[in-house]
Amino acid sequence: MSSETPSRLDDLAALHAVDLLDHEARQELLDAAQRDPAVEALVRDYAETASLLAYEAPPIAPPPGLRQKILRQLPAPARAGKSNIIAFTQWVPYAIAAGLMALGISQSLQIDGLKSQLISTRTEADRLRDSNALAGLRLATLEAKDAAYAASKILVAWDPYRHRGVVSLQNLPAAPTGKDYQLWVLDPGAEAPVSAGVVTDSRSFAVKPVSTPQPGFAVSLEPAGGRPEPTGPILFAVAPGL
Amino acid sequence: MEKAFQSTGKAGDDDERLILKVAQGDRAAFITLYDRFSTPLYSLAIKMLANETEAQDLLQEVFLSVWNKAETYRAQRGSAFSWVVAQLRNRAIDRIRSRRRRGELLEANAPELEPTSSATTSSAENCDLGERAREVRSALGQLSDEQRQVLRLAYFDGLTQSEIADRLEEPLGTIKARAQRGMARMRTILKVLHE
Repeated sequence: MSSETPSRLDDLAALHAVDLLDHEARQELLDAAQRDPAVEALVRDYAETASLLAYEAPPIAPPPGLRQKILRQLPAPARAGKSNIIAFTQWVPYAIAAGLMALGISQSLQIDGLKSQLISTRTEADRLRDSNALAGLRLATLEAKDAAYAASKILVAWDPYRHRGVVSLQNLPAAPTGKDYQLWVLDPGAEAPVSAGVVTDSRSFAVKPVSTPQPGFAVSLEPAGGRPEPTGPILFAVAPGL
Repeated sequence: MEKAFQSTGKAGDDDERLILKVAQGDRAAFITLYDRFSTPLYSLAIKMLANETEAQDLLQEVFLSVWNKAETYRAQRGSAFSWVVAQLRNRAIDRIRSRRRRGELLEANAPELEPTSSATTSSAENCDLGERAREVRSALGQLSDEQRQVLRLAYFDGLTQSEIADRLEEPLGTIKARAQRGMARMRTILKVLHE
């Protein structure tokens, strides 16, 4: 654990376990946990302690019919499992080979807009602190992987210091009924793509810290509401570092 | 730092494996997990929401989420029990805050319902639950009244620091200190009990 303020981190972990941290303190703790396995273990330890508080509630068994009611709602047993991840990662070499699409003048204007949008989401303090970091913004154009989407453009402005970005969708047709477009952050250090949520329009997004300042991005077509890991076809992608 | 304790006691050794099986679509594993976790989760839901119908809805939601999101569980981030409890608490707190926003929240605490005789858990599981409940109550019993009160308001009522400070008419710093010390003491006591 960091030798600077171990007791502060201990205090933060204790408060975090019972959801008593404000956003900034929570982020400070999670950032420290990301850097230091000992802090991560501390956070986990307090969370385990907090989960045991559930046993203080007087024990009441749920109604006997509830289990059956839940079982009836489970979807069919067939599950795709890890094969989806393999299918997804097969896209990455193609994205690498394709490279970053050259940015035209109109796209430069759009990217300026994305930059402004990203910057405007910061507080004044953030702006001051990060005034030198704006040059580190990653601007990426996601390449269409399906000819049917050739007329569509997806741009991402990514702030590597805050692990958040802005996605801009242009000429993207409405998702088919029962489906949604889902944005993914491709972190080479993660086991699987990290969901940045369903995208229906240009918007900002944030994810947990990633291992590289230049992650890749992808958009897939998923069942409505999105999925924790990609299951549908990848429609757009740009590889990490490009 | 070594892991302080296994959160779900003897049964905890298998909880993580059950979740992995659920991720592969194993309904039998899901049923075992339900039988193991449903009573403490339902009890927590009743305590937080003070409403049996809502608690049953919430329990359904959580177990369906466990089925759908089992693939995302990572054992290295914590026990299966704490993963499921966190899902239930987050959803319960959303409901509580939504009620508050609509001005419908009743001030009453959770009713002190008697343990039901319709329990579907086995006697061994009930025995295990009872043992864990005794440990937790014993640990809580060693906190000061003030520390216990703050932890209960945060954990069961989903109040923020400011809301607790307002309710208890105490400075924010006092509330934080009580919560920190209470949690640190709980952690130490429970660790000792499991060593």
